[in-house]
Amino acid sequence: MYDVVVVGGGHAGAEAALAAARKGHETLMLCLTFGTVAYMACNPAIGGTAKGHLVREIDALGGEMGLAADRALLQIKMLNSAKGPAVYSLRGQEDKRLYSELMLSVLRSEPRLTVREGEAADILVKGGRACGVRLATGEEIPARAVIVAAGVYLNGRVIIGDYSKPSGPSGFPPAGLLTDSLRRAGLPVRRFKTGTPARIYRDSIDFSAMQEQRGENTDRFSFMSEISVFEEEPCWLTYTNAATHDIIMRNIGRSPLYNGSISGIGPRYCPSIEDKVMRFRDKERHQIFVEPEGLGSDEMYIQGMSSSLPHDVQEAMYRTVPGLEKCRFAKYAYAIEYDCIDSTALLPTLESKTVGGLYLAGQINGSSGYEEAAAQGLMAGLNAALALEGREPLVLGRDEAYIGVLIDDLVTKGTNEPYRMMTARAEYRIKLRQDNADMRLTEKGYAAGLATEERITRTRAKRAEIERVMAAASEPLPRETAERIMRAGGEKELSKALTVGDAARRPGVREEDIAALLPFECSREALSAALVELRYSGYLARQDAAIAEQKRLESRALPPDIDYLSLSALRIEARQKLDKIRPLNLGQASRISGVSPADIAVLIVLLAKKED
Amino acid sequence: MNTIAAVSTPAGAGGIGIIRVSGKDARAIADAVFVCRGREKGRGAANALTSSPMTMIFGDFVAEDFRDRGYAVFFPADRAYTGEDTVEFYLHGGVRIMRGALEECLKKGARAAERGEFTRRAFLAGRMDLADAEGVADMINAESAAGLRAAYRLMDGSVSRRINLIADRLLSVMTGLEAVLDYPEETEDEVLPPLEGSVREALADTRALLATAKSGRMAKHGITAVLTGKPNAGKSSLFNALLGDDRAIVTPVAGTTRDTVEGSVECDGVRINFVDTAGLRDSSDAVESEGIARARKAAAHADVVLRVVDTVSEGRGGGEYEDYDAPVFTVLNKCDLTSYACPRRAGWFAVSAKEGIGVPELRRAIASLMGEGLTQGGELITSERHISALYRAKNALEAALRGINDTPDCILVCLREAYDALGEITGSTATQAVVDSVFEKFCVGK
Repeated sequence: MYDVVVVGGGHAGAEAALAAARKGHETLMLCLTFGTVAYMACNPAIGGTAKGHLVREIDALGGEMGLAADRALLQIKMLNSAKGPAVYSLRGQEDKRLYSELMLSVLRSEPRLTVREGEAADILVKGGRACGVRLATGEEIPARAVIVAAGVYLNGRVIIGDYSKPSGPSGFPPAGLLTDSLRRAGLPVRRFKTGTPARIYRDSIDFSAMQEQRGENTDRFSFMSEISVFEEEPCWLTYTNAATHDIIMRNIGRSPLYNGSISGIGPRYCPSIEDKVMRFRDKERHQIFVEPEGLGSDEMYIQGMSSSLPHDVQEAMYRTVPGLEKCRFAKYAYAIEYDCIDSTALLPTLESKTVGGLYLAGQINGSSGYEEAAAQGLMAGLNAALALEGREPLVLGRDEAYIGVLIDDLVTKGTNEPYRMMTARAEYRIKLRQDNADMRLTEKGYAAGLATEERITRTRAKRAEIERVMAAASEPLPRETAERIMRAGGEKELSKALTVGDAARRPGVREEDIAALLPFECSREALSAALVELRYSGYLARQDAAIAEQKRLESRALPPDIDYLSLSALRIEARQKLDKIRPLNLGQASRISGVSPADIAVLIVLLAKKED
Repeated sequence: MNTIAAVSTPAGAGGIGIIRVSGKDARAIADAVFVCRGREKGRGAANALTSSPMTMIFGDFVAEDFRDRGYAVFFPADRAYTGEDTVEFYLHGGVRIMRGALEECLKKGARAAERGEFTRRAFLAGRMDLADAEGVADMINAESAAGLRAAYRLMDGSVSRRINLIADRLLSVMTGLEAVLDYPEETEDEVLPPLEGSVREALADTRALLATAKSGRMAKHGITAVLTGKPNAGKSSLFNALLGDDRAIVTPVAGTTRDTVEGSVECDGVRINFVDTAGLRDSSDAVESEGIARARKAAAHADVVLRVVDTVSEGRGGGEYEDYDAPVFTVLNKCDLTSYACPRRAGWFAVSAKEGIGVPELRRAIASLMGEGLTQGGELITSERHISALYRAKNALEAALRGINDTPDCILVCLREAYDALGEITGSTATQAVVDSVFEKFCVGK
């Protein structure tokens, strides 16, 4: 008898299984084949804008993704370094085979965790609670909680032009049996679509026609990783052109996206090349990044050219791109359709609203991306474990973590297309920085029993250092030092005593300059975290005011018995959405898409009436 | 919801008084209290009303101890203001009749409506959105023709349209910044709208709209004109002349007026609230000193101060000037007794309160303060909620400009705050609008 069974071993399943097992619960993780474990079925990269934040948060809570990504690096960059610390984002190119192998070995060496090949066919439910799974072979595995992280495998169908076949991603087998079971559990099932570009043989590419893109010497994903040297692989930048676009336009009728044979809803975030060309006709060129699939790998990933056009059109259009004139295909680009659920059927813990002890995480919830999946997996695993322990769940707020934004968006707003994290989705972005993910979350991860002693010790030491810098920041500087700084800034007169904090807020003052002003040694991480707090203090205060305002709405509970459908003051869409989602409070109600401020006003008037 | 009833016309005697009954029992109550002409009580008033909705039916309102002849009208739920079956009785507007008729409806099962309950029901029934509901409240409270016009424009949505224009401008600049933050590599070729210029324009528009708030307030509550000056300058005589009424006590004794005295008049569709005050002088009299303090306080809250000068004893009243925030009109009183020529300057008036010379002109000048364009066609911001939202937007935009050289993540804190403040009027939130707009305008995503 297992405590927790995790169905699926992708990025969500792996984090879910590790979280549950690390919390001390006997855990079984089922995967279709070992090759699918933590496999990067699309781009060979982790992180990027907002996704880099997610990786840091997963790490801060005690997850595995950041550590594995650091060990499988091919190059790493800090994106947006000129646009402000809130949007600094790490992105690493990864050796996808190494990543998958590393993760599998971590899973296998975790005590209380068993990794097994097997296809789940049915979720066993008794008395409204999940009590195990039945495999395709008929074997029944009892468990106290079930986490479904089936990715894009459910009734997966791969489409290339007018050819299609049942398949999981990257040629892995699909899983056809579980969908009906989800329906029986009361989960609304729908169909999404995504896609991936072709893989091209490295030796058929003329790299001299492309621009080389190297990594940077910068931070690592994990707060626990030491900076170490690794063998770097460059990426390459090239562009489409008029000839590419012409081929696409002439063959658009053969695209299953445009001739109607794909019914699934595709993401705006990963448009196929035909989508980009058709929607933005005045754009003369589109960027193409050529990325290695692994260290010295034969295959190169052609980012920016995902497509579901037939193979001959793919060949013709790829070969118009500088450097790809003689390219040979290892794998054609394809679109993939799959079953997923309407995530508004879930609680903020990712537990099903209809079946207790049944959790869902990852792409099956309509999200897209490894990082989004891993974040959900971690939270589902953690909350399943906390529930088994009879403890309060951990639900992160929108003002606490991107993970909070991600899950709240999924369960409250729902999504009509594969959901990708973006920094624009976070209202309190300058608070939710990648540099302070540990400050925000590690205490919570530790209290929940996931973050290790070693991690919390490190975090607390950093916090103490930051506090020391902050305290020192209000001390006035010696007169000569202050004058030197003023002079450097082009100002002659010292109008008032200058503090370290004032100096930090002056334009052009660098981290090293401040370090030199401090009367003690301080780690680079702690110093830069403290400096961001100092420099952003005005904006952070503004944001805190907005958070307090939102909290007021959150504190107005909505009675569970409101008959929204009969409230004719609400617009019809709002009535239906509120009835479906049944928000816990006015704050959650205000975030439901289709519920306008006017509808909230109706609810406020209604609550006022009830309170009379 | 139960059925409610109230007297819908103002308290006091009037030619016609209206009782409104709203709710599912409205017709049953009508049946019990109203007899159509030529029929017996309780035999068909409801049927007659139902078969001719929206039509005035002549008959008798029958209370326990009186009858009154009048009309009843039935509005079915889908045509009624409240979104519920509604019956209105048009009776003679005597105080006794109204009270008796309402009591009769209450006896027959209605509940006395709370203040604003009809509008609240209309709002809850989806008959109007919040902006409309505010417009309705303003309309009820509007105390003059100009106030009514402002309220009408709010209901009309033209204020919302102007606010939408500002929000759209902001969204466009935010979208560019956000696209670059979330898609740094794919937006290198993009030409973004000029940041500083766009923020400045949005701020200027917001300020312009806020500037109308003052006129809006004047339109709604009237212009407050405070008469100040030395004792015996003739302020109270002028006050009475401006009102066309003997409100204030006038004697030849200096310092007659102690407390402030108020009175209103409508002129050119604008309501003017005149405030007569104690004459300003050093006084050892405790009561008079308090009166003088009140005079100064009233002047400090005035929309216009009328500095009344006794031309016989003060000439053109050079000398002491009190300093006020509001515009000051200098009124040379008792002009019939002197040969002084009034300077032909804006804000100077020669009048004789006693003879009525120049008084209508002064009144009209005060009314015109509201601004010709504003009272005729321009938008007026009159709702406190709108003013507060615009103020927050203005503050956020000013903060954005102060930090215009900061990194975009910071600037966006302020821009989003401004957009969300406007969104309380337009109904849109920054987070959703921005995400949708990014994908509409930019070719991003891998």
